[in-house]
Amino acid sequence: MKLTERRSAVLWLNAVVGFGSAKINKLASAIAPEEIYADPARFAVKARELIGESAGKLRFGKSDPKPVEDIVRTLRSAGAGFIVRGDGEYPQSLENIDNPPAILYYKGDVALLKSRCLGVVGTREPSMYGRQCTEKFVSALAKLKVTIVSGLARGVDSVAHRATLESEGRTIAVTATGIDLTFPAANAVLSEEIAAKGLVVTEYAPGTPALAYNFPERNRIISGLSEGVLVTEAGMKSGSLITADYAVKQGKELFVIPSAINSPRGAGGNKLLKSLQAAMVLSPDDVADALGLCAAPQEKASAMQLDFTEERILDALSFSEVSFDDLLSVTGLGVSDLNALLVRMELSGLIRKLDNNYYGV
Amino acid sequence: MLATVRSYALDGLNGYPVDIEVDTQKGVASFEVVGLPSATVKEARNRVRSAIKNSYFDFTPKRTTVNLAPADMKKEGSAFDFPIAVAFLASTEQISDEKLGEYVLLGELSLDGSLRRINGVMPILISALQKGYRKFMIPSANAAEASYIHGIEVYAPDNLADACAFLGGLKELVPVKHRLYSSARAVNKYDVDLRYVKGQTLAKRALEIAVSGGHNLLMCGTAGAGKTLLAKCIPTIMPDMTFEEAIETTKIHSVAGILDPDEGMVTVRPFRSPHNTASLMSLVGGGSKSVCGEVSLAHNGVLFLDEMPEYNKKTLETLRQPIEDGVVTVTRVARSIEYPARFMLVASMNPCPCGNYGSRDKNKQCTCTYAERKRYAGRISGPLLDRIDLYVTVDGVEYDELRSAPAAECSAEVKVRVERARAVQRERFAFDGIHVNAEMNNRLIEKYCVLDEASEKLLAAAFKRYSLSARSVTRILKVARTVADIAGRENISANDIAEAVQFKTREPGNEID
Repeated sequence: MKLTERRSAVLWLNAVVGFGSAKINKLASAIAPEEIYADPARFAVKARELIGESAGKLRFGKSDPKPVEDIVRTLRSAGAGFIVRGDGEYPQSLENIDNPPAILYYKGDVALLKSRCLGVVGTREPSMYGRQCTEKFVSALAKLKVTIVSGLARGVDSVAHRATLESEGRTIAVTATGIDLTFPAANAVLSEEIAAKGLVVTEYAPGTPALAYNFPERNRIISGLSEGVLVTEAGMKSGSLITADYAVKQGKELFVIPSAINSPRGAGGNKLLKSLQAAMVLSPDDVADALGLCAAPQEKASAMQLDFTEERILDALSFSEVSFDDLLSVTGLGVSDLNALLVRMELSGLIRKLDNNYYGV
Repeated sequence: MLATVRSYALDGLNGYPVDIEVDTQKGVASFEVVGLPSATVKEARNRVRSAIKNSYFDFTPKRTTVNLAPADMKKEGSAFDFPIAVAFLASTEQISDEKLGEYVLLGELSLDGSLRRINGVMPILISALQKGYRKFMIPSANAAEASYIHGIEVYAPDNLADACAFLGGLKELVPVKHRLYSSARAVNKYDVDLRYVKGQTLAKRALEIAVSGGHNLLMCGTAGAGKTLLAKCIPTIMPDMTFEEAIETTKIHSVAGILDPDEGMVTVRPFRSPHNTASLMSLVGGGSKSVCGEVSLAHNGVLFLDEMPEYNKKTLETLRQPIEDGVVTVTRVARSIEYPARFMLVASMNPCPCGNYGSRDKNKQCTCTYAERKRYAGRISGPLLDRIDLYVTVDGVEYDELRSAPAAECSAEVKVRVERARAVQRERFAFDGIHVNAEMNNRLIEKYCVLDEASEKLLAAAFKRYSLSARSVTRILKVARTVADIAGRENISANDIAEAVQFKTREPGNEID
């Protein structure tokens, strides 16, 4: 991690002084950050004009290098790095949006920021349908070498990250906490895996906890990085609608998978479709076509030999989710045999067990 | 003069002989009981005095000292009334002490001189028999309990006067007749039957496996789905108790004083369902008297915890050790007592505080937040969940199914299969000192749960797919063994493993993301 004057200065402004991207950008538009860092007192009046009262926080600067060194040490021990605007790794896509992040802390492969990205967002409590759609779209698109960007939240975000990792695609998690923290804590393992195989990135200084107002702001980065945003399932109050909003404002493609009209969990997405702000997508190909991705070679149908009963189960499940008791009458098997068969089928990934002894594909 | 009578006291489930010495001298009239008597034992003097007078013996005040030896053990209970009275009569030379040494005397006295029922006769008799005592006199109300023990001669007089007449050779008493143990008495005492549980095939299968192998079971389901009804059906399919098991359980129930006086023996497997306000001590045992708790009362039977998350968390966690070890060690400053507690844990819970999470009913949708659900499920800790072999979801039944489904298999038919599986296990574990598959330790699992290649592969896949713990795998192996036993297979097949896996995945509160 090379520390040029400019990098140290931005790091100081963000992590030590505590300014967000908006203030840093405003300051940087008039004065070079490294100059403020060298002698904050000299620019006190000018800074006050630009950003108001909070300019009072600009003190010490380079004369007291210890805080910056501390932050650098924290980052290093967390295995993280950072880039600032103007660095070679900083992607053009973010320069083009309103209020670009002044600094990005990251773990993983920073080059992914410049790859072709697709944002995938949705509700934190997806229905089975939302989950399935997310998996289907993401794993198909990840194979087309598009990087899947999402927010590491519960629900659709996690499903999207996982599905990408499972199909050995690349994924970026844009988080709203410091790079040394994970929110929600339950995703710590997922976060590490993404850092190892993809990229975790945030504009918030190390140690920043999960603060409600940071999450919507973070969404502009998800859409900013991406060529398009795919909303798989979103309720009326879902945060993914904010991302969708950013996508429209930033002039990105917006895709929505339609939900049933009586599903509260998909009402937000359907509303986007009704207002004609988003393109309705019915298959991963629709997204791939719109983004101009070349279609992947058709996968050969699975060579797995299914016996008669397994076919019947898959047949029954292809229409809707079916309960254990109903599968009993469909297959005519005994409880014990059906039990064993269903576990085998689940292990080979053909079906899955849902709540309340229901099964689905 | 001095007279000595032999009696017996209990320390936990083990007894020790107590010599009751009564010395009467001339001097200032008094009646002292020494030798660490508890309050109940001290009060014996009032009962003894009235009982003696009302049996038309003489109780002229003298300087009387009663010593309970060994003097350093705390004596509890009222079983010493009768021996104290007899020793007093002997020391005042109202009865002959010739035959006194032959008998162990136990019993509480009523003021009119009749003998009252006492607790703990069964464990006392067994323990005394092991130490070589053969002849006993106990209250007639306890006769039923004693009748099952062979190799001893028990006399059960109705009152003090009869007992004295017998000891003095003035009256003949018939020793208590031996009874043969039969569990057949338990038949058809239940007002529930699996036949009346409509649908729920998966849950019923889980019940059958759990009961067959003595496995712990957790039922999770929406409110009113039928969890409690299913649990209540468990006794109807429980296998009959063997004599050995019945004795073990009877000993505990005898000490706790909840034995049916006519039956004299626990012939039906206990089904204990303490309410969720149960305190820690009442569940695992303890207190100043180190009494046994519900887990011990459920020995060889079922401990049913309805609405498990509603129990005090600390109380639940104390169950971990008895579940694993099958015994509870109650340790207090003065003593440490071990009570057997080999029970099958059956628990039920709702999926969330409102009870509707996961329901397929449009009008019964869950209103709980994610955090609330997590918190609710979190009340049962991971280590405790890990000790449960089978999880099953009990879902509400559709109306059509409820009304029109053909009558399902009845409990008696299931019980036949359970008995068969248990018989296989009895034969297998004949020399291993355990009764059921659930009790197997690692050594026995290695010996009896041999997997073929296909099963091994399946288990490996499941381990990875469901992120199982090492303990879960041993639990799965045990359940697979039971599944094979129900089917009468000697070796565990891949299907058995698959079925066991099915009941170990999807633990409550473990939602996908």
